[in-house]
Amino acid sequence: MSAKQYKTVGEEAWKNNVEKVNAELFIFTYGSLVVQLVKDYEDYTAVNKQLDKMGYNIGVRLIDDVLARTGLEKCADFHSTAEVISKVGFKVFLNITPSVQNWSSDGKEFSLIIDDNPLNDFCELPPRAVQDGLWYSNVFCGVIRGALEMMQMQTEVYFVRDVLHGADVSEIRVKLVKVLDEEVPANDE
Amino acid sequence: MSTKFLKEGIDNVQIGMDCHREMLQPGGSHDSMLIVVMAASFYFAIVGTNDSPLYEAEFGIQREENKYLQQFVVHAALDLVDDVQFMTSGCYLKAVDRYNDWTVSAYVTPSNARFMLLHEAKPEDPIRSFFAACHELYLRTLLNPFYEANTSILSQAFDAKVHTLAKKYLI
Repeated sequence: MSAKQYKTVGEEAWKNNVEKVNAELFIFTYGSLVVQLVKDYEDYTAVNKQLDKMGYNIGVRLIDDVLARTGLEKCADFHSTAEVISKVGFKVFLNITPSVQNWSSDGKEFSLIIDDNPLNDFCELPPRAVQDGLWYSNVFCGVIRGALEMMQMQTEVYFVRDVLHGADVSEIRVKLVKVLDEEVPANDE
Repeated sequence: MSTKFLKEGIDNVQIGMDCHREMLQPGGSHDSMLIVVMAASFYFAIVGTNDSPLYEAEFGIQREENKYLQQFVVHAALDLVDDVQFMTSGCYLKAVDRYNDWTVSAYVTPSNARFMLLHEAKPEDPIRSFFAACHELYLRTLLNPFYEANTSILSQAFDAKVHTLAKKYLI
């Protein structure tokens, strides 16, 4: 399947199969969640970690939902995986399509460039949070990591730069560590 | 505030007025006209719902000796705002108080945050627009999850935007 086809799939799914929720409700809910985490943990690195964990738990559930809605088949290679994340995943849930860029030469790493992150609306980080490296939308990283893990891909996903830190676009780096074999979980009787 | 200080402040105002008149003399060069335009000074403050100041700014020419007097005048006008705000249904209360050649205009948001502007003679319309634009900015600040209501507004972006608005509508 080509990138264009994925785009059509994403747009179709967004139009027909998705229940929409008020954007502001969503943005404020997420905002107050992050702020509460900041208050509870009092450490921005710990907040990043928690957001990533939450995202992971969302991702492992979400992936089935996406595949069921769109009827996509297994991706042939990591390049098409990237296209699906951007043109189907982000499109269906957030109505944005980050661009896929900066492929590494071995084809195992790429960047998602987001220039209109809806979560950033209204948000302005306090200088301290920028300094200590709070990634406000770190939940995305977890979601991608969780979703890919369910597809037998172990990945590292992290923010490289963020509009809220003063960069002109946000960049999420996705790195494929290894393809997991289908195996029985360690503590599964 | 001591009466001595107040008196000093008043003297300064008088001096300010004298300068003004001199510059407004017909036949003045363009340079002095320019100074007249620049000489307008504004003091803007946002007062929270529990009467604590959230934000203050000065536009135009700033005179160090006026600083506390300006705060004092605006503070005194808050009581008048309390009286006037129930007489009208709009947010913009126009001029609520006068002090020598200064006028205090006020704007009350529905959530009872008060915008106070201390200024010299000035038509109403630009002030109304300035307040409305500031209201919009204030709303966006309130919507920021990291901002807690009724705390000082420390955001530099907010500060910069208010100054831009002041340039656009007032100065």
